[in-house]
Amino acid sequence: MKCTLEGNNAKVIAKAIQSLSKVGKELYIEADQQGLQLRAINATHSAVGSISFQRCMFETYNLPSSQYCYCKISMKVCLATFRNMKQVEHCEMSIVENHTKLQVKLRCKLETMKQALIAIIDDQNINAAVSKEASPNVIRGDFKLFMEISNNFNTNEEELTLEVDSNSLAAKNYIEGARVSDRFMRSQLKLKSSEFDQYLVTKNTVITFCIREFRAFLLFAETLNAPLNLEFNEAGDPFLLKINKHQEIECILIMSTLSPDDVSFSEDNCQRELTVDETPDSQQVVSKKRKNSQPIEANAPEKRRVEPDDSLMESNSSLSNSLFQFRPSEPPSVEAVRQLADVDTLMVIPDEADEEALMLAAADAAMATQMPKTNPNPSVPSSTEVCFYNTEDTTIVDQQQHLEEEEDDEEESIPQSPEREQRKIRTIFSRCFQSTYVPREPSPNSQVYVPNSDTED
Amino acid sequence: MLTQSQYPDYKFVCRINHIKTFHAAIKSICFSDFGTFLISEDGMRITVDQAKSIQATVYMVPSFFEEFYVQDLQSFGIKVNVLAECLSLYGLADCGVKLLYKGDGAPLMILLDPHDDEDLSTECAIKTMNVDEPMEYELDVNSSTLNTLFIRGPDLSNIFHELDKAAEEFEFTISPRSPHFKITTLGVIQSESSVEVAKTSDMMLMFNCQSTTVARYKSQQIRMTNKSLQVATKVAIKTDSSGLLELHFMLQAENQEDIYVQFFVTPLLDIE
Amino acid sequence: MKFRALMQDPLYMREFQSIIATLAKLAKDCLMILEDQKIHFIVNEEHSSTASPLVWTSIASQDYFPEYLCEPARAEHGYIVLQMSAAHLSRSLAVLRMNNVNNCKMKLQRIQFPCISVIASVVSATSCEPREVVHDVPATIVPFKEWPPYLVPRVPSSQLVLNIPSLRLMRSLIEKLKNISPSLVFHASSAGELNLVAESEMATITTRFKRLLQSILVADQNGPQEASCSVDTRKASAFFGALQLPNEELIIGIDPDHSIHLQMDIRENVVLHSILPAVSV
Repeated sequence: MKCTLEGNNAKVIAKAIQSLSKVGKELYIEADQQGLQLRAINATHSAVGSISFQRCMFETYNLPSSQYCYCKISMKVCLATFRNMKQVEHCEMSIVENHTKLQVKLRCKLETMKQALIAIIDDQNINAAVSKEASPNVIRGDFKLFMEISNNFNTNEEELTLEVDSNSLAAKNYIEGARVSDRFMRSQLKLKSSEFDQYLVTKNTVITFCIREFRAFLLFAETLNAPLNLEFNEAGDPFLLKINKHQEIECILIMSTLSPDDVSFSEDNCQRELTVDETPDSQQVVSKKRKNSQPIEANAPEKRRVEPDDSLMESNSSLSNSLFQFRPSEPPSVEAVRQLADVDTLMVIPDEADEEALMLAAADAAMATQMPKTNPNPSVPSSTEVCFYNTEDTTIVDQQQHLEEEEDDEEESIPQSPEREQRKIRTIFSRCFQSTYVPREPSPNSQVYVPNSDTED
Repeated sequence: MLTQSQYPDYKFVCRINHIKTFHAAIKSICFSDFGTFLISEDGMRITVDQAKSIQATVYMVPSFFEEFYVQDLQSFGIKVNVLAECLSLYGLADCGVKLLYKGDGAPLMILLDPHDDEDLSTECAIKTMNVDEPMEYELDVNSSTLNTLFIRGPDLSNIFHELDKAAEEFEFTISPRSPHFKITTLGVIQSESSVEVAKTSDMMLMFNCQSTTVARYKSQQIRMTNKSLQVATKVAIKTDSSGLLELHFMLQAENQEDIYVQFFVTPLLDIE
Repeated sequence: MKFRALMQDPLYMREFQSIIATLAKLAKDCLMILEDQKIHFIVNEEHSSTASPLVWTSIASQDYFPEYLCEPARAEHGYIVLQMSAAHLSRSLAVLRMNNVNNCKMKLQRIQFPCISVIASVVSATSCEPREVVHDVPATIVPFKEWPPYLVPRVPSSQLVLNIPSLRLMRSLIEKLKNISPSLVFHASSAGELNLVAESEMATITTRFKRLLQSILVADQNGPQEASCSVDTRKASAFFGALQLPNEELIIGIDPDHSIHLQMDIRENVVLHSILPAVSV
């Protein structure tokens, strides 16, 4: 792969990398006939962002004979390479040294040439495919409007909840009625639907997603000076953020959303003025009790998940697809194999692969202990490949995915230990993919990739 | 510009109307604790070094000062960061500064008078001490391998600023053939990067190179020059086959003579 | 127990925001003491040993709040005393920095636990529709019998009080002196001179402010007078560094060897105070 582009376009790519760096620690690059796609997946696998640049953005665009290629590189290294773009007049990116290095050449003003040789960690790829079906709720607005919404919330906020009805939108850092810590400041912003360019809400919805990734893409929308499109169905279904610019740049951020089953509701949530009859003594008792994180109202409906495995099993039946998955090293027989040529035989740095395999083995072990006994078809993945399927025979891997998601709450994607599951207070994104639903879609990504030739295989 | 001193008790007196450049120069050499003042009729120099591998000297000629008086040769040691703090007391507000020194064992007196507030004045007394003469580094000017480059300060500052912060070492290559001037970053995991500038670039004010020199330096030491580089209008880079790197920063001040900050950085030994 | 207050004047709203932002820079938590005619905020109650000094502010409700209601749990107690995160309160008011705020309401209510709800009606630059911004700042109600340590501090009696016309250079000076010496001597004379002296093993720095006006209240004492007090430089620096208000004037009162009182008259009946206790050198 080798492509070249003019400085201003390179600056846009640099901005895209900066935005994606706020999503994940690795950058996935894929080049195909349509153009170049950059992707990142967050640590909890609850969000995947993809930014694609059409071929027309490039001066020259050469693919290997296989017509497509992909790789994964360290985000940090990539960020350092594309950090300062002010002086850049021309950019060349190519995969060199037998597919082990990504070479970036930045020709700058004042006859200065910057070069970087970035190690390809793995020939991994992730794909995020999206339904072309219309969502019941579609909201479009200027990035400035969403900036104002985002700025209303603290930078360390984790989730954003949108409450929409046909006339108005409320953005909140909490779910109405849900129990919060007594040190937590609830914030909300209410807007009328007329503030948006397009506001199509056919179904009153309350939906909660990660704000960090949302902000990362908002930043990129600002760079492009483009409006944001939000598309969503109901709580638990994926939330889509789309940004398009002149059909040259297409961005999509897919985020899993919080299922209502995961929320603990408080009965004591209605706003009321403090009554005069509260004697100081009783208040003190209350204030002491509040130090305790456990709910004190015994009759509050405990909606939080008690038996995670049960709900998991339930959910499997409705799941035909997952957003993206760790894929077993044995290619499932049902898949249509995408023809690979030389890409298929690419080298993987052996040490890296070994290390990942080890980590995964640990993850698998952790998963195995988690596996419900009723699991109809346990299967242990052993490869590092992440890939998208849209076949209907993926329940097993789905399930594994869920199990893995169960464990890595907010931490790295490497599962810690099953005990972590006992944390109940705010396990908001614990089951990211449970209800993630991506119908079969007609995009070129709908085909299943064959695993890359891991040194393990 | 030697004035007969109105301060008979003092061995050294000088006055600067605008503190900014002087403060910038002092601040840019604060990488080590102690500095050595050496004042003679030729001017004032303040030298700081660290671990016998990097040395910085600020040079000011007598005509830089509005007033300059020195008796014989005066030399003393001082904590440079304390001096820098004193010079920064008024923040960004401009002020005039006067240095006075009575001789051996006496403190260095610094008087600061802000230009926009007559009712405010500050007097600092900084303890001085005896110190050894700083080490002398020198490049052989007659060496056939001496390479000299003059580069515009802000442009070189951009280049240094963009060097990968994770790098442990930088390799400088100066060559009559392309790449004429190249810095490679070494020791970054998963990445190897370089920047090169052609000798025909507009930022090159002079490119004098007979033979190729290649040497490696600790990135940490190269970064110690950053504060000087950020305020320099021009930079001279000199090196020879020994690898000793001399960086000469010119700090231009309004209506004043220039201040020079000179750095010597010793190369890393080739282990191979 | 009821509390409600409404602000409408953009100037007052911005000022209120700056006052709270100042407090938020000084401490994690603040006390909000509500009474019939006044709101007080206190950070770092007197005996705290943080690097920040005791600071309090008193705001007369009359002009500031066109609507103001404070009903304590028992009328005879006269106060509502609340404790809350200064950062949260400051953040909830951040929107008042803009020019486009119609009004801002504060009210005490219970939503799962007691909160001061800050409700601002904002008109955005990008549209003409007013938006409602709500923040519920969690608060702890301090019961009556725990009030004594939380009383609004008394202004100490100072022997010499000088008026500093401009804080600009003093602020940067004290910030830098913090790096030189842990203690700072304020030495004032009735001739209108204030010397700040910072001393360390390596350096002595003396800054002289001349021709300062003496406060009229204490000016009628006989003969020339001098007073000095040594304080913690970090505390002094924390106070000056925290100031978010546009006011440039400050009154410095010295109670020799006991404390320094700093007072900023933000406007009539809106005052910010701080006390820097003496330290032995």
